[in-house]
Amino acid sequence: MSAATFPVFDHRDSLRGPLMASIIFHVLITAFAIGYALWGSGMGKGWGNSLNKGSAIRVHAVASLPGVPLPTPKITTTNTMQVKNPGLYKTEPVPKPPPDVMAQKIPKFKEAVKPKHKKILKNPRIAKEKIKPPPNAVPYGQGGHPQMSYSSVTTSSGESGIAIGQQDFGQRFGWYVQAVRNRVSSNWLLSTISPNLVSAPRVYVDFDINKDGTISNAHITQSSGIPEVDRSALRAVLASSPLAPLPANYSGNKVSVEFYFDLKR
Amino acid sequence: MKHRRLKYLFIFAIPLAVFLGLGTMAKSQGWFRTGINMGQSTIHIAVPDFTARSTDPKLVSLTKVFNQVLWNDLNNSGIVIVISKSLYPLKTPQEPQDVDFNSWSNPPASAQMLAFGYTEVRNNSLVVTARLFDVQSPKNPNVLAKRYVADMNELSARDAAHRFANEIIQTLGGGIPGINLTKIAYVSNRTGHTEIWVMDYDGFNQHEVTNYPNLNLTPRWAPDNSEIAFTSYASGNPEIYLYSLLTNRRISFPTYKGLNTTPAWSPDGKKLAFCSSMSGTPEIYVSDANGMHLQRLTFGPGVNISPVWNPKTGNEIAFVSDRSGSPQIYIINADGTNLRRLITAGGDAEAPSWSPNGLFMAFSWSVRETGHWDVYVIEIATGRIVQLTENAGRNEHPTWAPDGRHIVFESTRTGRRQVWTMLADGSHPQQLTTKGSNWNPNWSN
Repeated sequence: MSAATFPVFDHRDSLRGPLMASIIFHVLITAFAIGYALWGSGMGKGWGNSLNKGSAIRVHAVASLPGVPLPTPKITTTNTMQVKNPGLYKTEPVPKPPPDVMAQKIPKFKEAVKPKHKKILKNPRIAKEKIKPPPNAVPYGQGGHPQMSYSSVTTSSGESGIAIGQQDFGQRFGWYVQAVRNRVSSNWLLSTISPNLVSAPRVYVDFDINKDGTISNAHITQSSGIPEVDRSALRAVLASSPLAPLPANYSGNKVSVEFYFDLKR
Repeated sequence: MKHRRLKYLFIFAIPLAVFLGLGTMAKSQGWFRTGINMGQSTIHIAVPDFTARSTDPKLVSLTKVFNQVLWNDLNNSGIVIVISKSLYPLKTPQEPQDVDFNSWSNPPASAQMLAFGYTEVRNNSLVVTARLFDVQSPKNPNVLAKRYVADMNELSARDAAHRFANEIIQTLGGGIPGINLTKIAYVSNRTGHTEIWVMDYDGFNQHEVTNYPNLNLTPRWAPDNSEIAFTSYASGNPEIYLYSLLTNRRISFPTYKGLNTTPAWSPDGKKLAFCSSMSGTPEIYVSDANGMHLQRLTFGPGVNISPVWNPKTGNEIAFVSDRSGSPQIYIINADGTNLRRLITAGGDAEAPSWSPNGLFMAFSWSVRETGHWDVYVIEIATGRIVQLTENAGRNEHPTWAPDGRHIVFESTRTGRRQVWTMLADGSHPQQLTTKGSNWNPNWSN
């Protein structure tokens, strides 16, 4: 009663303003971080970046000998992030967010209990409606295969091809890919396949080449449906271990390879 | 208050974690796709002469040797095509900045690979700086860069060239080591005695290894190349001798009565198969390399001789037997079971040699219709036979090189028996010996 109430103790700070500011600030940071991780960091590192495009710095990996392992040169590449892909379908536009179903007017009681009956005998649109092609379809004949650097060769035993993935290992170390192909082909012995088999569907074998050239993790990803063809393909890969060590100026620990075998006599 | 701080911490921590997680996921591993191709595309390589950096006559002559050996090694490798020097651009590169990529990769040179470098004298030794460039990709051409320091003599210069060629062959050949540093043992009578000799794979540096009286035949390298097993008539009776190349001395091996000949090492070097008539007829025996645990393998009629192990598995032995009337090649399991005849056609088949991958057998064969001795290769699984030599004298005793791409054999196409090599498809025959008669070659491992 007699105690004087000091205005200092009575005064309450409103936390509302600063709290809102803080929340908005953090939401912005989060959005930036996620956005950067999704789009930004993909450009900074790894192959296929477009940062160094055009600046074409050639680093001489061994300006000074002897063969001490030198730091890996920064990689310049001609790759672009996206290829102009004629594909079968155009890229779909981003769909609009669906209307919020919850945001309906709450019907009034009388309107709610009186549904308006409307007899629908038939849907007149069923007969009229034409089958429309999807709006993103490319007209027939104007599309194409997904674009990829692809080369094919005709051989004594059948047709085969190399497709180098978008990671430009094949472009930088074409000689290594060629050496791998030659070694595995020389180990694919048609004698392991019965002579009455003239052709077989393509077999895909995936494997990893480690830094020292040894092959690991070889497995069939797509079978030909003929066990002996599958086995001979797998055997050709396993018999090729060890391959030559990976190129010295390749920074990774291993390279994944997708190898296919086409039997055609 | 503390509670609220924790809340703020979470607001910071979650986006940070998301950010870091996505960042590491974006980094990815290299990969490529490729497909089978039986008609191999052979790499075309240009090998311009290495330049000597001074006019020291010794350096100039050693550089010449280096260039010649490197050229021959690559030319004989069977995996690259060496482009003729007349098609090269006029400027010979020494350093990476000298390389004009367009002039090398375009016609007439049309090279895919370029081996170049220079030689110099430093501290009284020969220093060779050698590079291999992929001239098709000017942005990232470097494939190999090596520096070799060698003594100022011909053997060392040859050694440096062999090593660089080995590197190139291993890199471009898909990991199979080159054979340029391997040796060939053979029998020669050029001194009047029939002794075991050894030379480099290209016929250089021929020297005598043994010096025993009478005949010394059928040399066989141990898998680690430290010993040679052979047949010696030094004591008057044919016996198995082991000779260590590390100590240059004979290693003891038991002697048995009767004929003892054609030793063969098991792929692990622990066992020796050989032919012995200790029990009457010549049969195949297996014992440890020190002579312990002798075991008789064959009990067939007639002569059983010339055993050779399957180098891949070590579980099978091929040998020659005349139990059917004429010499033929048989295969038996190393424990003496599962005997079968390899070549069902007639004629005389001798001197089997198993390829390093265990899939092929080279042998000399005289087909009954022609009576000519020629070298053939049979694919063991299918029985498909390929003839490697034709109309070139008598060709016998083939042995595989450890890379499975070369075969050494003896031939009388120049008159006397001489040692020749060729690629395993019969191409690129090369005569290695000229003096006296030389036969029974065996390629080291």
